[in-house]
Amino acid sequence: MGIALLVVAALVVLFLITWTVRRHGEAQLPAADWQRTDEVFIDPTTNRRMRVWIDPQDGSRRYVPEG
Amino acid sequence: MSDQPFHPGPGQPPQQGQYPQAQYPQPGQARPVLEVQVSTTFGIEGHRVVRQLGTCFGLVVRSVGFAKGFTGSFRALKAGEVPQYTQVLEDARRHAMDRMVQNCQVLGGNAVIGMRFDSSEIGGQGLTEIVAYGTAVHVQPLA
Repeated sequence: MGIALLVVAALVVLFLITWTVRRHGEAQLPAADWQRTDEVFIDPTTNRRMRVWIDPQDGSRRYVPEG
Repeated sequence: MSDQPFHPGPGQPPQQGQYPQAQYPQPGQARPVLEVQVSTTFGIEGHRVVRQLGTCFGLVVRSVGFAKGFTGSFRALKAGEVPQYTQVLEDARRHAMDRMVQNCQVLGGNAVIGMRFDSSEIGGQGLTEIVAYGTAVHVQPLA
């Protein structure tokens, strides 16, 4: 009985840990030195309008919601 | 994407000061220097290819995860979209494209033409491989 509870507790912890997933390359607000592009799209999971920004430090693409 | 002056486009435009510390492109301002243009066609409108640098690709393998896989499997019993898997694939495609763009920059290119996506499942355990590939080129605006 104790082992079963332990297994259930472990599964619940694993569930909670893996439930929150950080979206790739997203930021709520652009950093001061990021450069805005004309590339926009709708995130299909949140229906948010997203815009691509460029981080000039390394040229990487960042995704920032608009509106 | 074009070299025309920046216009917010349809939908709710950002208000001045909404991003108080970010840069707002001014009319007539050139696009970001480090931006890599990506096109599914074999050219960039308004530009000419001056150098072809080779193929570049970005690959990523993503897992849906325990929690979302668990809830997604139940959601899959009902006809319609499974948002958990949509989110994973959306992120995977963004990630693959970012890596492809990065490899294009490593080659010295500023654009990728003929870009395509390809995907496959690995191991039958909810692992999805996404690859974005294309030809890295250096383009210049037409005079």
